[in-house]
Amino acid sequence: MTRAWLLPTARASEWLPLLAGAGALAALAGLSTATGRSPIGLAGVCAAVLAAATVAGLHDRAGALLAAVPTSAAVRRARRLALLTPVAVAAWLAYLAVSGLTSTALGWPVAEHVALLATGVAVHAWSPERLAVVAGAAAPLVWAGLEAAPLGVERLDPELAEVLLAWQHHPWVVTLTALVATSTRRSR
Amino acid sequence: MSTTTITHTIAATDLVKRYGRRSAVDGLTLTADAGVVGLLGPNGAGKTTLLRMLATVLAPDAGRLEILGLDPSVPRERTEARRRLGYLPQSPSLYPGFTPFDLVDYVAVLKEHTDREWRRQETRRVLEEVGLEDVMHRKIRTLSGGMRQRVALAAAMVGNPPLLLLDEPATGLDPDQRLRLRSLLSQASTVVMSTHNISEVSALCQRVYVMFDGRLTFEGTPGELAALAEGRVWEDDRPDPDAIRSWQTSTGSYRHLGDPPAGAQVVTPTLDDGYLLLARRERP
Repeated sequence: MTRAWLLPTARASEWLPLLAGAGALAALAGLSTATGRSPIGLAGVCAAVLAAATVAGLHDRAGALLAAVPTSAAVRRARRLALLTPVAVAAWLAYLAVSGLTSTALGWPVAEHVALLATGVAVHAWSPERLAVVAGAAAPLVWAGLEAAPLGVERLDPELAEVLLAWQHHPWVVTLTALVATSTRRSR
Repeated sequence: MSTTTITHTIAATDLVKRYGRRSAVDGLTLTADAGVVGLLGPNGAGKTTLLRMLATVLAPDAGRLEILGLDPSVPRERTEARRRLGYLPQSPSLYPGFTPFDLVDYVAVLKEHTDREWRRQETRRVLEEVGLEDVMHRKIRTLSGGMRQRVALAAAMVGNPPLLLLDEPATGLDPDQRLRLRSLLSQASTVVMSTHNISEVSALCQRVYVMFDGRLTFEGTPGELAALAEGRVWEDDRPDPDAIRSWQTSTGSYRHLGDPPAGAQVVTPTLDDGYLLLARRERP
């Protein structure tokens, strides 16, 4: 049964956003190599771009036709994520390696990306059907954008900043919370 | 004394579905058993919302629903009901890179049919039933709108479900395909279909439900719907300003609905006449 869903799910998934996101990161990595300038300041935004692109891959063109099949929307989403996530993580690791962003510079380099992706998936799961993909893809971008935006989050009270940038400071807690939120959503 | 429990294929009681302040379905009660049931009504009457609830896609805000003896509000029973129903939404999108065979086979996988050989045969069967045997291995993006509609219909029919819920299934089909659809549906077990096409209802349906503004305003046979206009349809060679509806027919004469004047040539009403009279009563 596993093989029966694997290939059609892979074909039905939207790969273009992920390819575009990975392409943008490849261009940035190439630029940083050529100029000799480290893109470390953009790491959070780059992680969010890949997370958003992965969530955008959950868009299901035939969702209306499949709405009443016994394999629920949640299971179909999980299957798509099982295919999209490894590719997104691989693209992220490749970007870190090519850009020279080592784990000593960023901590555990995958955790932040996974936290943002899990957040996007949770927002996707809890959003109304029509807005799910847009809201889910926007969530990691908005959250990571807090760091880059000129709001001076880091200048706020340190405890508040830690909460606002929890995806950076406590990525595994964020991931776990998002996974719980996703799994408790009773999707029809 | 023994008690008998009657289980309908569909039993809906006082169903309500609201979008904001507007009730798309407003306290609707209906039953459906073997045969083809037609849902008629103008745009926005709530037909699609009702079908989505019957297909277990949408949860009602109030009321009670039983599909094939199962309660869709209970997750396990909802899944079981989905194993036994086929649903065709209105103008569904498909995967353009798939072939009809790939798509129907994928739907069969999602309907939990595990035997690969069985799936192949079943996919072939339903695609032949809808007349797509010659294009089953062509990409969907190269197919016409009518062909795509038939792919979606085949997907709904895969596994020969005892209940088919079809939202405007004849959309985009040419007259020949419509005839084929009629023949297909007449062999199915229980079919509930929404349509704007009264001739489909007349040719296919054993029962008709008419909806206006989320409420059921008529329930009966097509003959009973036509009979609503009994004695209230007449033909003349001039328009009649006192008629509640008048239109020119293909023969050039005028057909009128309402209270016929003395000496008018009263004619046998059709299903259209009954529906139009009902529509006039509901939305004067």
